[in-house]
Formats: sequence, C-alpha cells, structure tokens
Amino acid sequence: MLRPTDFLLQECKNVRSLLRNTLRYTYSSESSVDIYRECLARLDLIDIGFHTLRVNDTDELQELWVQLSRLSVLTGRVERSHIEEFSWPFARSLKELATSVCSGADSGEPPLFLFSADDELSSYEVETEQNAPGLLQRPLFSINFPRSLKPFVLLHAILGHEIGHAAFAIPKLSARLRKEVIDVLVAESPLADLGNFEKWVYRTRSKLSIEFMVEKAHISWPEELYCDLFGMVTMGPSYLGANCSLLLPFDMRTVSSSHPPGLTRYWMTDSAAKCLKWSDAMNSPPLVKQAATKYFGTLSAIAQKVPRAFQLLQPKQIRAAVGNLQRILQPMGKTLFAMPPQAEIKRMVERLLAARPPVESVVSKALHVSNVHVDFRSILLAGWLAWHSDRRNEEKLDFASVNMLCERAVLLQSAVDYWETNKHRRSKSRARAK
Amino acid sequence: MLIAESTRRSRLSVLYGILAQSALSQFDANPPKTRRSAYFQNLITLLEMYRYETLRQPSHRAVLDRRETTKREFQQENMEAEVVERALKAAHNAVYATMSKEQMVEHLKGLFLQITQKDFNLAAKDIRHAKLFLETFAKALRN
Repeated sequence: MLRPTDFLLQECKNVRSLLRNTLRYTYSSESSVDIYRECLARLDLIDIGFHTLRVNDTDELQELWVQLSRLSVLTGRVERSHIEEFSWPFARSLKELATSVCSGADSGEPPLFLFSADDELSSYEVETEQNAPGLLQRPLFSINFPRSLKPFVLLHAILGHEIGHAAFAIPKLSARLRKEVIDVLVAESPLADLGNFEKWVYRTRSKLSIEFMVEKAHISWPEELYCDLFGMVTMGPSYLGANCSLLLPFDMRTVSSSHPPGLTRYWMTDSAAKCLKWSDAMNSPPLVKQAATKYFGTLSAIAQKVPRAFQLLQPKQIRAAVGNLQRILQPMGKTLFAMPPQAEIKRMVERLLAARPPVESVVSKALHVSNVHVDFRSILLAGWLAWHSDRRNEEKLDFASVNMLCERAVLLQSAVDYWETNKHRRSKSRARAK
Repeated sequence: MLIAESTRRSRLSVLYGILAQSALSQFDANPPKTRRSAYFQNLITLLEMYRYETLRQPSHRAVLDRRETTKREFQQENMEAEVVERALKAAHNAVYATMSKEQMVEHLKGLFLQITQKDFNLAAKDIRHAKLFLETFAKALRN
C-alpha cells in the first residue's frame, strides 16, 4: 500500500507528465506558452505543499488533492483545446474584449484566457476561478463554448453575460459595480429587501424549483441581471437575439435560486435596449430600417406580453444602471459596443443577403490590403439584421449559413488586423535582410 | 463515484491556511532566490477581497445552466467565506488595531510587494508584525 503523501506525490508526477504532453500542441496560439507556464507554476506550488505537510495534516492534504485534481482537469482542457472545437476567430476577438475589461480593472498581472468546448448545449460559460486567490500565479479564466454550436457566432454573443461575471470577480471593480450598477438597478424594487423579495416570489405564484432558496436568489439575481446589462453594452444588439434565442426553450416562469425567471430578463433587456436607443439609430436606409424594426419589434412583442408581476425593476433604475455601467467601462479600451455608421451596416447586410461574408478586403499585387476595419460586434449585428431582412431568400440563406458567413468575416477581419499590426515589424525585418 | 462529492470541493479556510503558512516560510527562504512571489501575490488579492467586501460573493452558474445549488452547498460556501472573513478580522484587530481596513491593506500590500523582491530591506518591526498577522490569520482559520 502507498502512504497518502507518496500516492499524492505520485499523482503530482502524473499530472506533470500530462502537462508535458500538452507541449506537443499549440493551443490558443498567442497564449500557449503563458498557459503552460501557469499550469507548471501551480503544479510546483502544490508539489511544495505535499512535501511540507505531514501525514496527519489530513484537511490540508485533502485540499491539495482537490487543487491537483482541478489542475488535472485544466490540463485536459488545455490539451483538448488544440482541436479547436470552437470558433477560434470569435474566441480571439472575445479575448481582446475580456482582456481590456479584466486588465484595465486591476493593477496585478493580467489574467489568462483559455478557450475550450464542452458537449452540453448549456456550456456557454466563463469559469472565473472564484475561489482565487489560491495556489496560482495568474488568474485563468476558462471560456467554454458548446461544441455543437461551433460556427454559430450570432449565438456566441451570449458570452458577453459571462464576461460580466469575470469582471465581477475582480475585487476592486466588483465593489464599484455593486455600488454603482447593481444597487442602483434593484433600488425601489422587491429585490432591494429580502423580506419584500420573499413576498414577491410567492405572490407571482411561479413554479419554484425544488431546491429554491430565497436567500440565494436574493444574492444571485441582481448579479445575473447586471450581467445581462453587461452583455448588452459590450456585445451590442446581438446580445438580445442570442439571449432570447437561447432562453426561449426554457420555461420562462420558473423561479430558480441561480437565475431570475426568463420573463423578467426578457422584459429588462427590452427596457434597456430602449434606453440605449438602438432601434432609433437604425432608421435608414430602408434595408436596415426594415430589418431593425423586425428584429427589435419581435423582441418587444414578447416583452410586452410579460405579466406585470414579472416586471421586477423600475424602468428609471434600469436607465440609471445602464448609464453608470457605460461610464465604468468607457475608459477600458474598446469594451463598449459602438454603433457602426448606417451605410456600413447596409453594405454588410447586402453582402450577406448575396451569400457573401459581410467584410471584404482587396489585396493588390504589391500586397497592399484595403480593408475598412469592422469590429466583430458590428459583424454580428449585420448577421442578425440579414436574418430578419424581408429580402433574405429563406431557402438559400438559412441560419447556419448566415452564421458561417459571419464567422468567415470575423476571421478575415482578425487576419487583416494582424497583418496591419505587424506591418511595421515586417518592413523592418525586410530592411534588415536587404 | 468513489469519493463523496463534498470532499471534492475546495475549502477556502484550509486553502488560505496553506497559503498563509507557505508565505510565512518564505520570510526565511534561503537562498532568497528560492522565494516564491506567488504566495504574496495571492495574499494581496485576498486582502483586496477583504477590503472591498467581496469574500462572501457566492459562486454562480453558467448563463444557461439550470442546475440548482443545493442548500448544503450554499451553506457550506457561506460558512467558509465567513470563517475566512472572521480570521482576517481577528488578525487585523490583533496586529493592526489602530489602522483602518484600507490603511492595513495598503500597508501590507506594500510590505508583501517588497518581500517579493530579491533583496528586501524592511524594518524588523514591520517584518515581525507581518509575520504575526499571518500567524494569527492561520490560527484563526483553524479554530
């Protein structure tokens, strides 16, 4: 029989060997080395722990075992991420967005982002290492996509919600978000007070999940509602389409401890969209106006049917919270969604309706690339509008095709951006070679 | 499943106890290049959580995940956060009673950042206090 410490030390060696194997692959291109180093640093810290503990330090040994087990799961995820079962052009763009939020908010080392895919349809998630700090060097946010939805970039906009959780895991930023966004959002609503909230829950006569806990819901719901607002202001109007499409299959009235009812979220996001005046910003040309009216109209029609009891918040508080959230995110790079010019949207929608990617570049013989830079969130918006356009040929352009064309556009734009960023470096090395 | 679900969950009170003990051992690391800055960086994050009162933030489910947290999980999570918060308060009161939460966190952050440097030059009193803080914290976590 092995002694507990011997067994655990053997496990450390095993995980180290697994980790070494991941070196054979390149994963998430630019961050491969950093992620490998982080895993190695964590393993070293656990290893030291095992060497210093005694056999009767049972709680500590068990905790290190948990940490080692988590690292083993992470290593597996790293290894699997190389097969890219997710849309990597989208992941690359999302990483830039998440990095500007999470790095701009903290003075420490910027977090790492690892992308992977899971088999469940509900896999959209950013694991924020909420129990951090721990035995780690840099926080690592693991972003998951559902494998089956790989090219469905229009739905991936839902990850804006999850980036909101990542931002909320940073202590200093979290304190500000709580005070200036969450507290403002729930003010003058039943959520502001546990007693009133409990009365509200039972008054709605909703179907309660078996494990429903009013105390847990009272803490979780405000954060979830804030994350919906975060998803909206960062991902733009596409968040609405993704959120509604993915929530609709669920029972919208069920009250659970973890998330507010779908009806409440639907109603709140519709109110917030009105505050952001997105629909008004797309009032011409006719192609854009028609698609935008249909897109926002469909969502509003559902929101209007939400019973009053589920309209949990005050519209003026939603407006104030959205404004405060925008103010907090404004200094953090290109975190906030910016509405593209209408002519730009029209061009992209027209290309999509002609079954072409919405972004195009021209490369001359002298390798001069002419490309108007388009943010990935604008591409997603064009995708949703093309999907709602009356001019869309339903047989030729189904939802999967629109998504694939948009994914191509995100890829193309990433490649052009990379080309542009490295242009100077290339010309320098060419000059050196001469 | 071979092992009970509850034993597969991390216990913050134990994890932070390991962190505090590991950091304490770093004060006397010899040679200094073997000193690991990660322990102190993590302690700084923990102190920031204490300062901004985010220790009790519950874990969240993914946006489409409909599984419920059980009462037991919720209580366990709450209890663990409470133990850590109480232990930090005890260490605060025992060593830096005259400082506010903000002052203490800033002071310790400065100290810990210096310790992570290869050659640190701190007053003996500061080192003694920082060590006492970590010892009190680790002890309070065990009680």
